[in-house]
Amino acid sequence: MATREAGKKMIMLKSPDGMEFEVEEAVAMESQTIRKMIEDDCADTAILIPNINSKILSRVIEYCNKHVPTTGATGAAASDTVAPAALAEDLKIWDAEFIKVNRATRFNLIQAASYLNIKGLLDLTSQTTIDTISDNSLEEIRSFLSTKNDYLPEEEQTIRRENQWAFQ
Amino acid sequence: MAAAPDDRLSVLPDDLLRRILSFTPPKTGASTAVLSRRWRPVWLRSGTLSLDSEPYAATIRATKYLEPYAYGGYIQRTSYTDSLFLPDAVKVLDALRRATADLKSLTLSLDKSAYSGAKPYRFMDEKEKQKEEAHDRVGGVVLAHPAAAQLEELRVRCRPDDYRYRPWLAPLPCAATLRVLDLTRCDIHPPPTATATVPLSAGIFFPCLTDLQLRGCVISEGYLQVVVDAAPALTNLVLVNVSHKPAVEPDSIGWIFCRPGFRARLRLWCPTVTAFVLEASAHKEELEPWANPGIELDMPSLRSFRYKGFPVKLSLMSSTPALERVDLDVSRESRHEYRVQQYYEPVSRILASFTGTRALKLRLRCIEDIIVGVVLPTFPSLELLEVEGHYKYMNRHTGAAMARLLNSCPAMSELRLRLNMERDYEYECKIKNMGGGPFAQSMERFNRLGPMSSVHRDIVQLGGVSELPGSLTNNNCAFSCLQKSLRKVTLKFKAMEVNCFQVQLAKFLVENAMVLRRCKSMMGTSSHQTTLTSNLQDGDLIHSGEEISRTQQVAFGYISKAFVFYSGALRGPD
Repeated sequence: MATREAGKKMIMLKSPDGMEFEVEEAVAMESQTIRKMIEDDCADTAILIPNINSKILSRVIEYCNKHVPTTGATGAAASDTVAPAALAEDLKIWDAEFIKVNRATRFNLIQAASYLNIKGLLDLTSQTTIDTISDNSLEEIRSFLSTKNDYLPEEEQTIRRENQWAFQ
Repeated sequence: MAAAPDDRLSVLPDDLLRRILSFTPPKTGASTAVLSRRWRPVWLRSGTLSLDSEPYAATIRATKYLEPYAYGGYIQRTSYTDSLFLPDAVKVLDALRRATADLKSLTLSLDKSAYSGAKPYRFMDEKEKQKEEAHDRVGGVVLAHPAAAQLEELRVRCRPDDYRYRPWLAPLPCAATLRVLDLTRCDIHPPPTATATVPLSAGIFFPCLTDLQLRGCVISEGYLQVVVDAAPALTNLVLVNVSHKPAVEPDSIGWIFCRPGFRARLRLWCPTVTAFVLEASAHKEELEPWANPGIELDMPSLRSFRYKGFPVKLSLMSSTPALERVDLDVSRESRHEYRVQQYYEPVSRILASFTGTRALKLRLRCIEDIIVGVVLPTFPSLELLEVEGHYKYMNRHTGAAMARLLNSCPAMSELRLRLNMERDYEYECKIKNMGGGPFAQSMERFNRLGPMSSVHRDIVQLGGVSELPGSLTNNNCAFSCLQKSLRKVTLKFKAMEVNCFQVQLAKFLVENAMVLRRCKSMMGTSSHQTTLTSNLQDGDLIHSGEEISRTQQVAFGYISKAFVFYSGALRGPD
């Protein structure tokens, strides 16, 4: 663990392909998984993040950096800050730009957000994924998900009948 | 990487898929049951449902056609068969019920045109009244469905320009489990059964409710207190653009089409609420003399408070020992400025209720407003002050207002200022008269400022920035916060000229704040910004950002010069 600036603790994150990222503790704490590690004192040296390559990890850190609540001089004052509406608006625009990535990257981001337990990022990636599939027909969704239809024809008919309203 | 990128959602674990699917509209979500065996139960278990009537309304609108009218011209008809929204909604809920899925969170978006096939009219006749009831019927049927009996979060939205839905809070079927109740454009009104013999509070009880959010709702006088009383665990209360009406006959047109605003005094006693957000509407009727009947709050546990709107008569009736953050935005512009001054409160009087806070964020139209009317109270434990607003060009009150702010915050450790000059006719005339045409003007500026640019920063004389007006400097800078506590200053502004108030102020603060550690100046707009951070402890100056205009460079030159000078370091800017 390195300290660059007095008062700001730095955390080292390591991706499995050997890259190291030094981030502020507050930024790393956006991830509930890392927060738990820090609180349990498992974070003396660098934290190895398995399954997440350096490219995705750097994107995730970029997201956390943007979304970390801006702390004031007093920890207490910033603890339950009501984010100003303008700031929230800016963040939304930034998010929309951030998520303009290809499918594979977005998929990896979902996995990373799920593993690191970052609620905001998981919501963002989920919503975007759903937005891309919800206008499509069932066949398109099936191919998008690369799922094979393993129902028997009669079975499928039954389920279709059960959920008939959804196919009108 | 050798392996092909694996981007199929199917490899994700079920609980993650459920989460992702909780964002789907119900039709698509339900249709995923047919994808494959594995997908069949996934959607049903997501626990979240969003019922939106808007797509149905859009379909109905699209089927409108024009029919030749017997007496010439055309008449608009709608090929409107039956309301599809409600049957579909019930089918979704039935499906959830069959799967014995726990529905935790429900969002209901109501659009009248989805089941009436007609646009809402301005005035209500008998036919319209029936549709009004249809609105309530749809909401009632959905909320009374057994699948929705265990809801923890309920959000109901009505479209703008539509009628308001009137949910009966007593009895609400899911009241026992509800944690979050978020109503947009609804009518919060006591049930018709409430008479002289049956009290308003009969049958209304929300034992688990922690969050109550009302946006654009109409609340009948006194009923909000009843709802709050029925929620002993309430911690977050949000009121945005609500209409607080005297309890009048609900059938009158005035009630239905009433504008948001406080038409009756709001007195609220919330012993458990810790965070309260109150935003008032910006309608021009708010400037009438009767629009400010007063808001009296009794919230002893309050920790965070936010108000946005005109400076109304707002006061706390009891002490708030835990108050940490107050966010007061009275910066709303109005063309009828004199009315705001005539009918509304001076900002300082509102602040008198919140002197115990540890952080204060103020958004004002002009910082000179601080000294209008009563004297700004002292905030003994305030640590963070953030002020955003305009200042008037060459106004003697600007310095006085600043002095008042510094004086009122004796324990302040951080100051954030975002000041910009108000548009000023005289100033613009002055700029215009400086030379013929923009080219000559910029040449003049170049000649004047050229020698002072960053390259020649070292020869800049500090004398180029004049001292602040007497009100700040007269009392020998005996501001307690400058002597003891102010450690961090952030200034954000657009420098119009070198010798502007902000630069004078920056110079003043750097010269007089004895324990200042860190001063950060940001200039320009958010997209084109440059930052100067100085660490006074080790005399470090960090200059980051994009290319800046010459005026700003020179202004920076002054500030950094002052930094270097007063931090005693000989090193120049990087």
